Amino acid sequence: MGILGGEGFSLPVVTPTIVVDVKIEFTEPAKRAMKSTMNDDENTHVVVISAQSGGCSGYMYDMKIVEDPQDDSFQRIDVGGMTVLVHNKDSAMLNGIRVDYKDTLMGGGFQIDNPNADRSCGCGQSFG
Amino acid sequence: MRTVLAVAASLSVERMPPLELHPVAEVIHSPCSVSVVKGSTALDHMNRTLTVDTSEMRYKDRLDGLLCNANGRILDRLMVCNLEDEILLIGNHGSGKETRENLIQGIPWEEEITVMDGDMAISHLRLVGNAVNRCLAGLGVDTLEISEERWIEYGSALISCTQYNKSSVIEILVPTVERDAFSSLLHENGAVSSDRNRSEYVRIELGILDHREMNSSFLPFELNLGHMVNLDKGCYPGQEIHARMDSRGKVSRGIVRLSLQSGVDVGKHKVAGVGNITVTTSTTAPGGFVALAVVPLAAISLEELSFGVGLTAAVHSL
Repeated sequence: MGILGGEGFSLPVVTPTIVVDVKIEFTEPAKRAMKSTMNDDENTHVVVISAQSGGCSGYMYDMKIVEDPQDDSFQRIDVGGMTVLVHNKDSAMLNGIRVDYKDTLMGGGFQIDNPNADRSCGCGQSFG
Repeated sequence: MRTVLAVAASLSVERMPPLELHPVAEVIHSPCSVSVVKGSTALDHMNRTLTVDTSEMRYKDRLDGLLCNANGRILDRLMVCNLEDEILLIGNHGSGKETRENLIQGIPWEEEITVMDGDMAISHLRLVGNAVNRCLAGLGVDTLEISEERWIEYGSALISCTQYNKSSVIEILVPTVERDAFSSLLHENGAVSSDRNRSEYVRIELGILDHREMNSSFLPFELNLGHMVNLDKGCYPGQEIHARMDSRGKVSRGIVRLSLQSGVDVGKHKVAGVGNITVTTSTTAPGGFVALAVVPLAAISLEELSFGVGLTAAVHSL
């Protein structure tokens, strides 16, 4: 028996998740930047916006272009013909965010303004 | 009258003998929380969350880190043990539930990570004394293999060590169902089990911090835990605050050991001429009492602190 082979371990711990209908606002520069990055793959690919642990403030934003996972755990949002997905587990944290895009050499790129965040770090990539 | 009392107290404090370690070893039961994180990306997940860089940990490596909040304050201290796809986390007593919730809430959608509660499954024993290696060698443990960076296996147990105040303390993790049998083996090889008061006395004297110190009242640098903060690893919760404290030298408090002629209440004390002092623990010791306290930085170099009403404490650095 190894150290983890004994009695007393639980089944995987589960915490309740609050699921809300997500609304996201994209500015025109953000839409244009997304469209350009999608490179005409809108029919097969989606943009996933998510939150994961880390960053200075507790959670980090993540934006990825992936092949459409066709998974009911995600909420689908149409943004000018492109599909944006938000996982249900992140819905409460990301509902109401405003996605902007700044075309500058320093500190440019997608910027997220989150009304649910009590705080955000200096670089704007994490929130809590 | 008050002056006379203070002088008498001071003399009494000075006569307190230093900690005498057991000639062989004493077994200290150290209550802890236990969590297990499973999944192929478990180490990456821990790396996003903890103050230390877990990304390069190999099988059976040990790394002690902190889980902090966005204000940089300590939520838990975790001894991380890499068992391949399973990461064993030994945390502070009473912190397990909150730590597990923290770990679950930040799991990325594309990663399959599960977190398990093992609070009752594993026990943490510490072995302290002048001949701990002799005691362990009697069990057949190759003591040359014991280090602070690795866990070695002995049956179902894991063994490592930590250096505290010039004493090497053996850390033993053992399945709780085997704890009594393991303790008996240690006893057969010259070790004794310490009672609660003695355990706390040894803990204070060696500066072994636990949940009474490592909690959200304090920042890592205030507890001399800078070695558990890696400012080069990138972002983790609390990193901005830690980096600012490091670069600007803004640490305003520090932890010390106190020796006193009578007990002092745990909690905050306002000390004239010094400021606020937080006593985290206090217990009896041969010739008086000892305590751990977080004090204003200027008070660390003092020889004595007066709590008023004749209670004086000798200050010792940790």
